[in-house]
Amino acid sequence: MEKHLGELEQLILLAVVRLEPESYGMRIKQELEDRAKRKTSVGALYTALDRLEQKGFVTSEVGEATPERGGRAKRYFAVSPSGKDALKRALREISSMASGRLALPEGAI
Amino acid sequence: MNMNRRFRLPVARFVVDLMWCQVCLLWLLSRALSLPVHFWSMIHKTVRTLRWWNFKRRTSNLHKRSDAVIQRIKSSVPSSKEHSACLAARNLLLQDIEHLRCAILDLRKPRPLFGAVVLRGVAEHLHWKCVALNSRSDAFMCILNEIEGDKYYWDLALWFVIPARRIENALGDLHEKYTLQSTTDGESIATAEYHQDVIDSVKDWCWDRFERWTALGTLGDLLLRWLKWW
Repeated sequence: MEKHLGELEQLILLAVVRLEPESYGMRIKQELEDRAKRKTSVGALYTALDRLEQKGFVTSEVGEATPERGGRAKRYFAVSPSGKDALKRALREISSMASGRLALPEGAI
Repeated sequence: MNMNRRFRLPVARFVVDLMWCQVCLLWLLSRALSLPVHFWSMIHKTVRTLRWWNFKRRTSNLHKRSDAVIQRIKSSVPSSKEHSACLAARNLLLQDIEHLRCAILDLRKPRPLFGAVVLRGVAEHLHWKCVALNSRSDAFMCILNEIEGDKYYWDLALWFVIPARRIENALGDLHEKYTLQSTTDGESIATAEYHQDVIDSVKDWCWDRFERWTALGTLGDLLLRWLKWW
């Protein structure tokens, strides 16, 4: 069965792709706020990342601990090949649904 | 403010007691689990041994009967009816022996213990509970290091609701954001943002947990409906 992506999941996957290899929780959250103007709580972000990890669309590994994090380790996320495929598929679906009905800027999708 | 400070240590003690209770509960559960494991394996071994002895006894009986039939064949006249009947009986007996031999070989193969799937599932669950408790206690130690800080109660609130595997990352992210924002936007804005983030995160994680329980409720409802219909 094909696994589909929700709207927040698509945005998170795009943020992870943009930030790789420096994509960890805080940076992803900031990227979502800066680019998509989407305020997301850490709770919602990690719940979505958990879901993506369960679906096999992202992988994660423990990073280094820094003093500004109170000595707590980071967790870096990376999009898996199946995650990239799912993202492309989702964007294609949106593009085909919007074609001829909505005037999207050139190269938007 | 004084009241706020006065309760910091008792709250920490309460959390430690809570974790201690969890450790005791896990220890009791693991001890309780070892009893059915021994019981199950004992029963399983006994049943297998009994079956093996039974097969062996039946095989040797069949061998004896087969030998008797062979003796009768040898002593009888080749063209007589008795001779062909004896041959048929012998073939049947040899087939029985082969069947029993296969059964014995099958018994000798290692087989999963009856009920082992359930027991293994429970044991794995206990193992993951221990791992989670370990990471929870590590995260709590980090929070305790900043017991005098302004974020103590907020961190504790998050500590209670975050799933164990995400505690370290989520708290670290919030702290990093707070540190960076306090240098750029000022401490008051950073604190306000931090509080808002904690409230939103607690809300989201509580909702996530609630949703899981509602899924169980739906399953229970379906089961009840099915039982009523049946």
